[in-house]
Amino acid sequence: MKNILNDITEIYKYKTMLYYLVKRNLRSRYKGSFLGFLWTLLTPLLQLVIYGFVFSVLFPNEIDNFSFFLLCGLLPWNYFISSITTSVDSIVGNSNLVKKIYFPRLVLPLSNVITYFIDFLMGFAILLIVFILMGNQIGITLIYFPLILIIQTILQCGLAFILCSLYVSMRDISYIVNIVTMMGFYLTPIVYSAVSFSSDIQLLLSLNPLTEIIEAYRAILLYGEMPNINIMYSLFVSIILLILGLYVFHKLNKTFAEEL
Amino acid sequence: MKNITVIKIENLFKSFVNYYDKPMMLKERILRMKKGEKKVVEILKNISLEISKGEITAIIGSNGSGKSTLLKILTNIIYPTSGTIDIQGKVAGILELGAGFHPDFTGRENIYINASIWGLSKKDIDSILNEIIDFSELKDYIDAPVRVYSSGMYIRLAFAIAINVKADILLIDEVFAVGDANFQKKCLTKLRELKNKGVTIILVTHDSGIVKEFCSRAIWISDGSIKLDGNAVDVSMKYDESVKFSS
Repeated sequence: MKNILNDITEIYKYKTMLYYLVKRNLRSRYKGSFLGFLWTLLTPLLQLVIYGFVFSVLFPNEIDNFSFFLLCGLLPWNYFISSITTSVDSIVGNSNLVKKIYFPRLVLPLSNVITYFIDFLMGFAILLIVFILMGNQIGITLIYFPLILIIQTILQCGLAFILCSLYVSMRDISYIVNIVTMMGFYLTPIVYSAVSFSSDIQLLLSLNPLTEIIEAYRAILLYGEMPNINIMYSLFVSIILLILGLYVFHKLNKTFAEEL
Repeated sequence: MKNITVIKIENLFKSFVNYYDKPMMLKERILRMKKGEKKVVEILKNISLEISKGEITAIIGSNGSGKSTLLKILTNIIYPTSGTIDIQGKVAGILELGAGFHPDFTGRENIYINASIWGLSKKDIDSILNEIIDFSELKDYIDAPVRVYSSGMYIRLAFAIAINVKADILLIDEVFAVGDANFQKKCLTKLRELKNKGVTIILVTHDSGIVKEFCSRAIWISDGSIKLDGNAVDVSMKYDESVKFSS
């Protein structure tokens, strides 16, 4: 346990490295592409158009303000998926560093989570502005936003740490992640509302820690409600995953340079 | 004469497991599809040594003798199979140059990126920035993307950063093999400067000139064990003789 705490305090010593890794990620993501940074905003908008069309025109629903309903789910989902998929390769993709210089390896997956954290914040800020400009009301319940964001971030860090360390010796982790996230999109109430289904289905959905997180984002922005107390389940799962992640990473850390 | 021990290694063993046909996928492991035969190779056998503060030590030996592995263990990149290591002070291992360099970023930006991987804060880097730029002799090219640098420029910048990281113990792995004579001279001058400041230096090198001229002590590692450990000139001569007679 003490060793894991050491890992965390060391990250603080290398905060400048973390800063430059994030900066490099943000800069090089769209370098050379025509639209550049605009893609960060365009991607959710395009998703909105497609999913909006499929899930309100082709398959009509009874949800008010469906566009914002979708965006409240899409933006956090994109944060989730981007953090996880880029983190899986964070150790292997940086093998040149890992084999030759000492630094706390945790900064590698962490830098990916932080990169998309920033992405998400910017996206959500814009969502908020557009929401207000379109005449919608926002309430004091928005102050719960940081809480939900932190729970989601803890969840993602835990998963990122586990996956990137396993990927070093088991390369099919990336295929597994791809499939699980494809399924996960539909097992999370992003394009639909959980309440439109039977209680059995709702129970199944509630096993997914992201379900309550996304419902919470919607609650505080769209409905001016406090997050459902069930979000404590997500918090619980997230903390377990974080602890597990730190433990697995710590154990496998020592063999990274040899395995790569 | 200060005789503080800064590095103490006791009974260090390091083995690697070499796989023939390693199972890299989950299914291969579960179904035992690949033979997964493995052979345990002992790279370092019972290494024990003590290095004092300010000592300049050369580690010599043929390729594959375990020198680089020893350095990696001292830098915490690889961990021992058994044995203990006790190190006092900050260690910087220069095992490769330019790690983390991004071709699209300028030399100046890469200084910050690379130096931060060594654990320096922005403030630290600001304070040594000019020293690094001067040492690299890149002048205006410092603000050009690294992509356009010649290999010589690249090396000069990379070394300039690595050598200016403030460390108590410096481990250098054969980086003198690259770069022209001028560059090598410059590096040695800088190392002499550091030597005078009391930095403990360990050099892995094949260059017996550097060993005799610059180092006070040499450790000859052969096939994973210490064959000889003593005065740099003596050990280096014996090593040179053995190389002459072996092939």
